[in-house]
Amino acid sequence: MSDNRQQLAGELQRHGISRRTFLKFCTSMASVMALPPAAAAEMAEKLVKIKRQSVIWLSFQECTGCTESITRADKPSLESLIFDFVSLDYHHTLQAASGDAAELAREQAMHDNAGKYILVVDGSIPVKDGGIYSTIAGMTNLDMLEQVAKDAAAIVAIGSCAAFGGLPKASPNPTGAVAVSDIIHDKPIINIPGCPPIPVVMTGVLAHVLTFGIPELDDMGRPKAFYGDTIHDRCYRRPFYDRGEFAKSFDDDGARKGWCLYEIGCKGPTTHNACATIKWNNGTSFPIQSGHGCLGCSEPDFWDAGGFYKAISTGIGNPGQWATGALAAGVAAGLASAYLNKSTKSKAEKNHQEVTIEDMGGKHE
Amino acid sequence: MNSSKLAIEIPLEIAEPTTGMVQAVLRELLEHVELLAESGQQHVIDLTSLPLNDSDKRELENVLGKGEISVTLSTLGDSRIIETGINGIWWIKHFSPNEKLLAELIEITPFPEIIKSHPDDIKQAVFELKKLIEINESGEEV
Repeated sequence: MSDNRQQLAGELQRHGISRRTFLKFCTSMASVMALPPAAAAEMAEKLVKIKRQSVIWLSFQECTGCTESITRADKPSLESLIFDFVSLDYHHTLQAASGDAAELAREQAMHDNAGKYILVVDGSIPVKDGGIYSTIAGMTNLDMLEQVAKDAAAIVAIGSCAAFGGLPKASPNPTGAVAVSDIIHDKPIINIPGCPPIPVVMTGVLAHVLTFGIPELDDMGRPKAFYGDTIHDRCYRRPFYDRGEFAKSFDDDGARKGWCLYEIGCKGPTTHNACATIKWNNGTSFPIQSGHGCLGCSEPDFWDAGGFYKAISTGIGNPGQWATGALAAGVAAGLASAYLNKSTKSKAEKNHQEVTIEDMGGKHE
Repeated sequence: MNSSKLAIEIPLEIAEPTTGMVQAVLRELLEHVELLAESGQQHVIDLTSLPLNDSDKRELENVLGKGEISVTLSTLGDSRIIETGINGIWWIKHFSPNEKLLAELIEITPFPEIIKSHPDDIKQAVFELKKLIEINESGEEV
């Protein structure tokens, strides 16, 4: 433990990382977090003085896309420096240890750093039928979350699943998936939604937690620096929206001219995220720049929020809520559960919306 | 099928139209250069947070032009720091080792902070220089 808790300054200096490198890292972090100019220098001063922060990362009902996102920056990248600032004591996918040794590492870290470690969660937590639909080392996700959250200093819910329930929670939510904040109520929780979140958003928030503490959050627990604006607010196609210049279908004249994608289903106006400014794949592009509307993947229940190719203004009936309502009515009527499941399934099938060529603005030949 | 006959030319890059944001940024710059001239107050404009497309940025770069100083900082990828044609306005681009643009800033300052040697690094330099002198005097091969 003494090894990984020594001051970073000396350690990084041995790796040839100068204070300019620090300042460069912190400038890019401060830039993406829209912190005031003086913050970069202050962040650098603080980062060299901190001791390595213990991080326990729990992966529940998830697809590992969030881990892919945070680790897939081409190395060596500046973002990957964040892994020099923390001690990642437990992470299924990344750790070398397996089986009992892995669980032991988690317990050891919890014991050594009680009250101080940061808990990172990706994936939703299934709570139906006692949480049996996802277990790790014989322990349900629900039990493991409660156990590890107890002595955590703060929790970072990474990805739409951990933050809001995500895809596992999509109608008819067969496993009873819920978000971290539905279970843990007595710890600070930072939600970093997105399917997956932008890599630098994850590292930026972690850098902020290490230096300035918990960043300013909105009413959904999201850092305002990244989720304060909608995609639409910062979209480079915004002037076309303001001028009323819309693509009416994919590949029409407007689409080729790069006009606004609002009418073909872009969820930019209702989606809070930083894709329009930070972009994806090393800052190459983001969906709208590639000619496709925003799906709204960082918003709660985005999967059930109507068709991806329907304009927001057409209204979004929520088939998910309707199915849940029918289910509750069925329980009241005392119907057999087998029948219920069947009925829920057929309702879900009925509500299943297929994307047609008309949705995408085309015509049947 | 003969693949050599499938020579369809696809343009790889199409310049986006400018959005007109450059005028607004120029007026903001004027305000801050005035402040720097009057009271020495420095400022940073974070270009990555503004809805400028690549064409806008090129237009802004062209308007401001290049000044007398250009610095390359090499640490975990290059950073390019140039004073624009307008004194006191510095254009800073931080790149990662794979040439990804990490941050792009305009600093309104007499001298960007990151160019200075940090006091901690200077303290470390005392030891390193002493070590070099010892090695040099002992005649060891470096």
